Amino acid sequence: VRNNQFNTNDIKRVCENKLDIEFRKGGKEQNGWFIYGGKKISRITVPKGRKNVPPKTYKSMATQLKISTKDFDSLLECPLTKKLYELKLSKDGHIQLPE
Amino acid sequence: MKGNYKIMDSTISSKVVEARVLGSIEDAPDAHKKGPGLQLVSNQSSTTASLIKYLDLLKTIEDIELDCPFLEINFVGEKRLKNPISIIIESDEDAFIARSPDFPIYGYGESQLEAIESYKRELYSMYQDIKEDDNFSPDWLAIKKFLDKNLVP
Repeated sequence: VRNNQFNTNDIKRVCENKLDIEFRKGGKEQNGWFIYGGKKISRITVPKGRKNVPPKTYKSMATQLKISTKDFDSLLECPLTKKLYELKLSKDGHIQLPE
Repeated sequence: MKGNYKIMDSTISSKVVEARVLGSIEDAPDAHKKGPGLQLVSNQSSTTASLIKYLDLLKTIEDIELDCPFLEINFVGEKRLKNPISIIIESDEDAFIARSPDFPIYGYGESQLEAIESYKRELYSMYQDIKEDDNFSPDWLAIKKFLDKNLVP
């Protein structure tokens, strides 16, 4: 788990840039949906403010995206692209990719 | 003043917690300096609001310690749940996290109370989101069905 390498702003930025998640403004928590094929698939919550993310919170964010912490590490570090993320979701039966 | 009490938050009606007053309530601000004057214990799904006056005091005490890290949430916003949702509050390095196996949400806070409040906001926000339409994956539709079934109209 590489939670110490990322703060909440990093996580939010990656979710926005790589997964096209739009975070709702306002409130103490920031929420956004990953949408695939017009359907809302996963919903992530990122606490507000620039702070490091403790391990259980980090794992909860990964769980919200329906991926392991290892894959979440990859997503934040760069290797996991949106295409790969969709592939993982498809493998676990969360979405159906077109033939 | 010593004993177990139940407290309901008037500002967020979903907050129903049980509090144990360890010393006299008048001593609590001092107790805050020395240690917690009040402790939250697991809620038995009652909505007794007779000790509502202690709520402000609860909010001023940052180092409240949970006797039992389990709490039950009885409301989603203003709506009462037929069956309460159990949450667990755990420390997460120097912060706290509130989670439940029932929903893919969590509450985060610098204190246990903040984490609980955050969880309740998240629960309400999630409910507002899934109420919007039916464009969700099957697991989210199942959550929507579960909440619709469990909320008192």
